[in-house]
Amino acid sequence: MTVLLLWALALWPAALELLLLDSPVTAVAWDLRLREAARWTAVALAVAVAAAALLYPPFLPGLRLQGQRLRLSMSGDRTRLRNLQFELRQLETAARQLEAGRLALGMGDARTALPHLLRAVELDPEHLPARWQLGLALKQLGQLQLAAAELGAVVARDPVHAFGQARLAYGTVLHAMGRDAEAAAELRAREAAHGPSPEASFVLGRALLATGDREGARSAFSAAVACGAGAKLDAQQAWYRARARAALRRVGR
Amino acid sequence: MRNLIDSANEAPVTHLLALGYVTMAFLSGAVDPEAQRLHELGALRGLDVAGGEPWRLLTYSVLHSGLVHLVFNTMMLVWLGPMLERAYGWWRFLAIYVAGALGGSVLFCLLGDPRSLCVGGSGALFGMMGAALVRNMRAGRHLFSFLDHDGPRQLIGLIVTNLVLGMLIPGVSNTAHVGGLLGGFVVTFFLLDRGRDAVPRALALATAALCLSATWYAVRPVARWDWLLRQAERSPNPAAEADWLEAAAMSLTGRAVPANGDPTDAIERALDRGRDGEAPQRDR
Repeated sequence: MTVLLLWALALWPAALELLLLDSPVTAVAWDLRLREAARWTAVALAVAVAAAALLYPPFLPGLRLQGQRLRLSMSGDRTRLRNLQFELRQLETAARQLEAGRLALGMGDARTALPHLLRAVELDPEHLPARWQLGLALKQLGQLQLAAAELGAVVARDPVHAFGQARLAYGTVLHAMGRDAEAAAELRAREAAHGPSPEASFVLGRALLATGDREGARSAFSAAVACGAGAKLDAQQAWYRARARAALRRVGR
Repeated sequence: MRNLIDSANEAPVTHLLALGYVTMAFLSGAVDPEAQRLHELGALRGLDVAGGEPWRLLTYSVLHSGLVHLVFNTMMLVWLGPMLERAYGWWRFLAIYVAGALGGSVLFCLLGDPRSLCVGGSGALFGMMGAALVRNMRAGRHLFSFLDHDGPRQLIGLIVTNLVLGMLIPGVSNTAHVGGLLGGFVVTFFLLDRGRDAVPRALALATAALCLSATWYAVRPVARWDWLLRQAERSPNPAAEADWLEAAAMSLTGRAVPANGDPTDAIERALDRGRDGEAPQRDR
């Protein structure tokens, strides 16, 4: 998108030269039109952002989340990753492959992480942290079937893996695949072990709503909204809490 | 003396530029040079650049509008120049200086009043600050890790302070400052110091195309009133001349000339309203 915009701006003087062949008045008229359009686009963009923030309250937390993802992708330690990739050519172990995959995944670069994590699991299929990270990478890349298989295997062996995050990711993937009853069961089990969190309770609410349990969904959304009430949440949890609030308004308090 | 020779050996381009600043200051009348004299020596003016004098896009950067202006810019050059020249080598440093000067002049021509004069090396100096920023960004573990250190944070403070001062002091062209900063930053980031995480080729290519196209438009602003008026003057037949005049009037007033209106009148009225660009602006 940025590249296209840059090219469009770069080609504008050439376009004016072509219009000049027709008549100078045409060239100037188009130049004025472009300036006017740029002005109105800026105004429309500002109005759209304000309207989106008013009509869909999770919009601003969503922007914050995108900003955080962008910051993480730009401020990850690429030197460490590069050094690890170099070292892996000399000496390969599952732990080092996992470390490289985890670093890339932390920067939001699931494509770079995937081959490292696949190799880590290949080297040591019993390594649960590697399979958990592989499941996350597959989930980020939209490979839901494979992600469910990996995360399911992790949860089967260690239901509280990564303080319940593995079970949450498994439940989220099941919900995304439309297996809502299973998702709700996983998320309820997670909630029983670790308590509610805005993300887990929101996804649970969505899964229950999909199974037709409106009352259960309402109480899950309420739990998501009540989580950390008054406290400052991180960008991701704030995004889910805002979405839960909007969902609660839709299903009725 | 020996120190000076050693320092000149280490940073020859910086010293040549400083010498150029002082020489041009003597030629223009260092204390209070006249606008006319600055114009003769190569001050920047959109009208002249579009009228076939593109060298002004660079020559303005060694001229200064007075002693304070000259001393301030020379001090900045002598402070920042050797650091960058040692870091990047002489030809890259020269490229950064030229990119900063060009960035400043091109943005001044695109956004400023084409009748106003502009002189000073601070567009190029801002370009050097942009390059120093890139150097700090590339030296860390990731692009923003330099923000953890005091020195680079002070550099950002210096840039912001200078931009704010530019807004507060009348007669200073902040457009040229911003253009210089962008020019130095973009050329260093995309071409001279690409780092180990190569910049995406498509993005680098599009940015280079935009820079070239902006420079081209500064030299040949085909939809700007002064260039259109010049075409009208050169036009061989009256019908074509009327077309050029109508386009110039449209560009100047921002709307079409009424069917029974005279474009020359509209141009004269608009020019009379905006006749405030005669005093030379300082690029610092």
